[in-house]
Amino acid sequence: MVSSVSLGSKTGPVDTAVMCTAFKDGLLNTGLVLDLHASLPRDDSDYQMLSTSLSDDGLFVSINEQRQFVLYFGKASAGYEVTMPDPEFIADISKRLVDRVGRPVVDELSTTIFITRLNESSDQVALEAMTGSPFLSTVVKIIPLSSVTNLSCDELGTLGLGANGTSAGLGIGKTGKTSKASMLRSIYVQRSIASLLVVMWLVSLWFTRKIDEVEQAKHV
Amino acid sequence: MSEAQGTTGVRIVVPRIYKYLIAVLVLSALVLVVHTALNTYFGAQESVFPYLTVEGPTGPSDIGPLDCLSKMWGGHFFGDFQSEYCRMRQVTPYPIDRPSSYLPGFYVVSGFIGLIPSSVTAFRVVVLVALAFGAYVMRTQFDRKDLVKLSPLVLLTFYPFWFAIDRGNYGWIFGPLLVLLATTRTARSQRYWILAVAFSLKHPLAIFGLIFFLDGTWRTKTKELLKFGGMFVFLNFIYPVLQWPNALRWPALVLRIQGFSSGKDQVGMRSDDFDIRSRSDWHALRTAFRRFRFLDDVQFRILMFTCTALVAAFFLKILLSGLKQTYGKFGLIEISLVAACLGVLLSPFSFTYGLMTLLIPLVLLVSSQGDSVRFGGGYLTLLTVCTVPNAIPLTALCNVLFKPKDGVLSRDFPTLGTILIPLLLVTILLLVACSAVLSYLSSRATQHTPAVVSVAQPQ
Repeated sequence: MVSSVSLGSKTGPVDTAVMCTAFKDGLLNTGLVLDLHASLPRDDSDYQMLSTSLSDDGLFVSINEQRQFVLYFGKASAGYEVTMPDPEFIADISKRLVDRVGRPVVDELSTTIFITRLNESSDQVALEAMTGSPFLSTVVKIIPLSSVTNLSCDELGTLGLGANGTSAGLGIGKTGKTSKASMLRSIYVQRSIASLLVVMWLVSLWFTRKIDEVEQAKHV
Repeated sequence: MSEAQGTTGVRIVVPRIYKYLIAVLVLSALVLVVHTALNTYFGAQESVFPYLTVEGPTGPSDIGPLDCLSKMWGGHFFGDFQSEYCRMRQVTPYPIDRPSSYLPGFYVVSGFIGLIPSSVTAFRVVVLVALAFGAYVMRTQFDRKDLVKLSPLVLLTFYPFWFAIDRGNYGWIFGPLLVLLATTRTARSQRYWILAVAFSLKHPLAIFGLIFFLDGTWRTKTKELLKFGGMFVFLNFIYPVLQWPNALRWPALVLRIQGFSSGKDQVGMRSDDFDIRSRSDWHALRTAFRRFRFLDDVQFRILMFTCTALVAAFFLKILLSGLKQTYGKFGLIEISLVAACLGVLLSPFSFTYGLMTLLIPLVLLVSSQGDSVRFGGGYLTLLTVCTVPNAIPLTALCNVLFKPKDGVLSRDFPTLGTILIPLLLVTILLLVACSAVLSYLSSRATQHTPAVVSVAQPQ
């Protein structure tokens, strides 16, 4: 079961109490799933998406000028950082900042971040981020559990700071692993079944040939 | 083929498969004795037999996602299997922080393994299928009933097969077996897709594409190559796009291999898997000789001379014994020998499990096809020496013999196999080149011999 708490879709303060409790409990039997979405004008600014603390040693998610999601766990200089790949449009030489009628180009960006303890007895935590853009990809970083339990979490975080017209949504799945598994299952099961179909087709090619051989032998 | 004189005067022909199996047992026992003797003499320094992989109590560190790793059997994790199994159960097999060693076709043809809920069960299933499929492929190469029964033993006594299982590297198991299946006469009409699947499972096997050029007219060859190309592109570039949801930019990701296309390093496939200069057996041989630079100039020259003399001795012995007899034309076995030797020497994956490519010429040589090959016995001897577990460490021996000035030699000093295998493979390539020249000269001589037709004979 996944219980989600919507933290809103507006810029401003958000209640991060559930997250803070989970961090303080060392993510025991609880994983967190953060779904973040942003509509951003294409420019050279970077945007803060989420912070759990006013101090600089909390959890921060930002989007840099290359439009990469960057997750900082603890101080940016001394903590842990997970960076997602930059979207295709950044590499595009003909990067357009405005559309044909002169309005700023807005890009839709989204990511899902899983924060889970490796197992109940483990003293390590996995930060796993997944994006659908520029392509389906995941990044994993392993950090010590102490970084999570000592994380600064004020129970009143900030969402979408520093960007006018930016929106962000946040959901928390209490059972992160279950949520992750259910999310992944549809993807890999579909892929596996498709793979099975290919193999069955190839095997049928082989046996069709064998049947032909046997029939030819009978004729002879 | 050797012949023995029976007591009744009947000539008994001993099939090569018998001789091969006995040779493997004797050589393996010999290596074991030498290794044990060295261990006993030098103490605990080299007590570990370097024949199976040791992954430590926590397992390999490159398996992801990290909650997927499980200990499978005793202290063994069968790392290559688990890493790919875990990839298959993820959003994409190509996460940006863990580049893959495989083409997308690998995940297309084997991704169904991810349906098996536990990696332990999945590994057991794969090993059972490998054994059954291996036995089936071996049987296809033999006609005589008594030899068909023996044929699975060729695989079961082939050390690189067990090493590949120990690594859990099923690409190296099924890839060469599929190539071997494609060499059978009955698979002639199907080999375009069999080879496409084999090359998708292990791209270093692509050198066996030389098989396409063996027979048929240029028209049929072109047709077959087009069918092969279509299947290969379908499996590796088209099907993944259709198959994997949201992977709209999949082809760009596939091509984003360092050097193949611009973009971030380490995305998609591992770039150093394509670096022949730094990861091939040929490079390993050069590195091995470099490690001997602690010797003084005279000693080093003696070492080089000994190695050259070894190659020359093998080469001349086999050449002289094979010169007197007449043989069929240069064909499948020679081509597979060239492909296998170059594959091992130049392939970036060609360490012990890479020797699985040698299974292809080896099986062809012990089957009835091997009887008509020039230097067949010689090739078989050299291949057998290459594929028995010969990784005897030389560190302690060299420490005692040469007493290096800078202290003791490093632990990664070459083993006997690191030096011996590339040298023997080079010898095989030299012999194949000689065989090609001799076949060419013989075919020219046949063409120039005028056909004499007696007038008295009815035509």
